[in-house]
Amino acid sequence: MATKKVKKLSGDLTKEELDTACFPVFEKLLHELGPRYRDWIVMIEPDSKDYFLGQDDHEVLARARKKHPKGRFFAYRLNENPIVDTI
Amino acid sequence: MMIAPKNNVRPKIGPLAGRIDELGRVLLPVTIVASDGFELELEALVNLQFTGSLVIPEQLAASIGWRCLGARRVMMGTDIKVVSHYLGLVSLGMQHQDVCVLGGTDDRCVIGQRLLKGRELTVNFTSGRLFLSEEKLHP
Repeated sequence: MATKKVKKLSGDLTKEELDTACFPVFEKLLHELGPRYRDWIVMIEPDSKDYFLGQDDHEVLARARKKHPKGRFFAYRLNENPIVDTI
Repeated sequence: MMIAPKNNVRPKIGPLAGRIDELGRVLLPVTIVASDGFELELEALVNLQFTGSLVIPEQLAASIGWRCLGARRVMMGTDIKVVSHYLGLVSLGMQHQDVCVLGGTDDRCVIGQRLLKGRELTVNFTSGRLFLSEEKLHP
């Protein structure tokens, strides 16, 4: 019997799945925006592929939540090593 | 909850006192506000290597009703880990502020550089006491 693969919405994804879903968008943005906005923070909403750019993660996350009140976002730093924070 | 005066001038509050524990770790009390307004005071480790504001255990964030807004990659020691992020209302001895909070995988709370910005942290290893106050303006 053939099974139909249903795409999960961002709310159902684990953290790692969210990263996997958003990373291709990030790679495209790094190529397009990286030279101009190097080291800025980008938050990606995987269902709509909307992205939010800024230098302050709190401000960017608040803006993203305002546009997608029920959304979940993966954050990257716009460079080859997209780590946002160091602990 | 403290309400800021309309003219946006911060009320004068004395320095926040913390302590140094038996392992030499610098600890400060931080208040987090649950989604229903309940305030919870925690003792958090000051880690000046941490570039963000605050880490609280992920389970605690869920139990106080904070909605997970996604995740990010962070460098922990030599490992890269994916951690959840939240927008939460917290207070470090002064007015409450909305900050980006990370979900930790262990039971520690960690205060980072961002939450200390604009403040003066004085650590006295002789007396084992520490104070966090508004930054002094030097002429």
